[in-house]
Amino acid sequence: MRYWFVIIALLVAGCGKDLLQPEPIDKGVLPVRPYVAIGGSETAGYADGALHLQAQQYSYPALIAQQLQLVGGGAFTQPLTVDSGGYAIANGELLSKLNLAYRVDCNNEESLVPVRGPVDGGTLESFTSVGQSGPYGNLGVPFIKTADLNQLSLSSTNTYFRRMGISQNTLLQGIVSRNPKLYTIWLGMEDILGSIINQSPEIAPIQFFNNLTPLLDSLAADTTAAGFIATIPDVTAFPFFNTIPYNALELDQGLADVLNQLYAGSGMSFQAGPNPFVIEDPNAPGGKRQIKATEKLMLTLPVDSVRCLFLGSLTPISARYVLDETELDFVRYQVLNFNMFIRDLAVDKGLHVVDINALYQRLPLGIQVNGMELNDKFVNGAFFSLDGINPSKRGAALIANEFIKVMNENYRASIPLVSVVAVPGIKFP
Amino acid sequence: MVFRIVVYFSLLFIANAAIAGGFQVALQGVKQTGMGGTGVANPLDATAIYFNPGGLSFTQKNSLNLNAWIILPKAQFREQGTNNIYDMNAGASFPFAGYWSWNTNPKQRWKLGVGVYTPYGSTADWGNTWAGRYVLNKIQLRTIHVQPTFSYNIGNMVGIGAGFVYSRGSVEQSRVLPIMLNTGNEGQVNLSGKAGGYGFNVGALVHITPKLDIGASYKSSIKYNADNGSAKFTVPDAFIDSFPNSSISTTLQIPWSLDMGITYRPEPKLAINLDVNFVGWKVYDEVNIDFAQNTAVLNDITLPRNFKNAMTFRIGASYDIDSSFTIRFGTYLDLNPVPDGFVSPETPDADRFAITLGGTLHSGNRFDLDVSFTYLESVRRQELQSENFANLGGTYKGRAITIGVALAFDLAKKQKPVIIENPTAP
Repeated sequence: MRYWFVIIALLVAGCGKDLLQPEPIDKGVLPVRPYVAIGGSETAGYADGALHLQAQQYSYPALIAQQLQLVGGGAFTQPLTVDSGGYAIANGELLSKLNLAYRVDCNNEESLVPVRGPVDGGTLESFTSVGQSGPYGNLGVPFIKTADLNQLSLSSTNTYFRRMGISQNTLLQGIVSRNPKLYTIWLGMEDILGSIINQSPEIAPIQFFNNLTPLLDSLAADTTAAGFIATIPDVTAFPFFNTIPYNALELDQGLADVLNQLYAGSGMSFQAGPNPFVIEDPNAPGGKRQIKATEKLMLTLPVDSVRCLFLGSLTPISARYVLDETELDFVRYQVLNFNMFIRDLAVDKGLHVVDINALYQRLPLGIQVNGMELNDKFVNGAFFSLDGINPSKRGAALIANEFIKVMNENYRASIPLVSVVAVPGIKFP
Repeated sequence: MVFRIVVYFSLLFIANAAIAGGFQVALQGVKQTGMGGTGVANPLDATAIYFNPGGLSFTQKNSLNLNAWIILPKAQFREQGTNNIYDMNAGASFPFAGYWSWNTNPKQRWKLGVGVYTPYGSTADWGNTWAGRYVLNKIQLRTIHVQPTFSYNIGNMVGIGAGFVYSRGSVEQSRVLPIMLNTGNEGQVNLSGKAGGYGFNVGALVHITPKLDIGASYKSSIKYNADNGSAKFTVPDAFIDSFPNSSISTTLQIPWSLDMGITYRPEPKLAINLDVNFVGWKVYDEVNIDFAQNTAVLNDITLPRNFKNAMTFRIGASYDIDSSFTIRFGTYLDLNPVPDGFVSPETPDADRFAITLGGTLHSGNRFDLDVSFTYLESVRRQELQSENFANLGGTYKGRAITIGVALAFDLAKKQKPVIIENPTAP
């Protein structure tokens, strides 16, 4: 009997031990430090319509760096903002970030929508230069276009770049001065988005190629460094362009009659029920026409004016809120050719391609992770942040994982992926 | 703005089950537990009410048999890709079984009995921050069977018996919803249900030679119609209309089991048992949940489970060291019913292997004290995220220790004067 107790005691003790061990992790032959991230808003951690601390902490470069630290990567510095409502600047106006909140519209109807909070002291403080905390590993700059890389006057045109306090003359010089051994590049989306949202000049694919080449030439000069470059998604599939239906103009018979009379002879026709909005189009007779089912309205459309001031019916919607067929065709042409050049340059300069475009192409069907779905729907799709353009924290985690997978495949590394569900989701009131 | 959240729930009698295939708890008698769970062809006392009602008529005693176990489970999950390991917060669970058998006149060929036991039940709590919380956070299951039984002996060669089973079951399950509140907490849903069901347990035992017995028993499937369950949602205010607290109804079913056994006694002191259980898990094909109040985002749910029938192989033996002490030992291999792609934290199910030890102290023939010890190891099981029904990829591993204690009282002793006065007694 005494022996039994010994055996049982041993077995009970054994039961308390860990049943599973972590799989071996290894950097393989990947040089892991210093790591520098190059890109635009998505890279900087600009989300929910502003640069703010929580999104920066979960930017995809920050998540990559967090995983690299498991295999000997160094500290990763970012030009963090203060913990506040975040900050953004649009048309000279200072703004804080978007939060989901209830808003009463002009018809006194309450709905849950992204709303900007008040501009607070932190918003102002975030403006001040944080150059003394650099140099930074995350050199992503919100709204940066490839043409800006070598732009001497960038400090005066891009407030986000200015606050980073990079002492070199250009962003490109700032990047090169870090002598990165590991770098990730995701550029090109701002070139496209800038022209369709902010009326910047359109960028031809060959210009994109010419703008990007000096950066890759400089970085690839260090043949011991590991470079990764991401393809760009079709920005026209973002919720920013796909949330307001083209035919959300709800009319009763009386209003439809009024509009039919008003626009008689223009080719437009209206019925009771949903109708395509009226938009500006200089090429249309009278400069106005109804929007086509294939065309898209932007999320920034002033919805109150639509509901109460007959915008989109008596008054046409300004072309700056519309992606018309010509623009859509050009954007898709840009995306296709930018990606072709990205692949060409990667082969030419010895970088590895991370197919982020392929990740985004999975969103319409939904990406399933541990019992939840991420898709391309606005807000509830979980992948995009509240601005409908930049990824949410969980979206950033999926993007980070695509980079890490390519690192693992090409450098015999086994760096653990980010647990997507361990990253916070979008908050609801 | 329409919020579409994919919500699906499984509300079945499922347990963490480091214990047996699916959510079966193979603990119905401490003596049998010590012998690898065998006993279909080896009726020892009133525990035969469960193991083989046909064997009950062969038992010598009118007995009251009270069994209790403590199960100490442990399970871990390693998330695919991230290398993060999560522990199940393994609470102990306490199954029990009590049996009473009766016949005032040992000359008669029949015997009555009643058993109360907990064939399915357990608790699994993975916490509300682990990687699989959107699939399952916590489940707690209880079932209790009450089985009045009649057993009849034909010529001391064949025993047949049948029992009617009435069962009560309750289950509570919660999972986290992928909706974050402004507080940083996530939403949650708790589902609970209770129901009654009934079935039967029939069996036969054949005394082939003085050394060899064979037996078989069939325990029917039991269906529970839980019409009055409840669904309780904790969600941000923005979702209260989408996820109303409501009643739910669902149909639950536990499988049938065909148990067959051979007992061989090369000498009177030694008994060797070989048992095989065929368990009809195929009844657990899908899960349906009907919400009394549906909304645009909350629809009734049908979830495939696709369990397949499974087998368990058991070997056990007992040896009487002297008139006051019997030792028992055994082992079993429990093949899991869950096909690849359908493994979930409800039943992180894998093939299981156990070794068992046990002993009985016979105290002056008035009562027995039984103890048992089981060490169970479940094989490491990996599910690929791309193939799992909930896209929860990772590796599960489980282990459990079970300790059982029982008291068996011999009620027949009180009848001893009657036996002595019997004129046919020698």
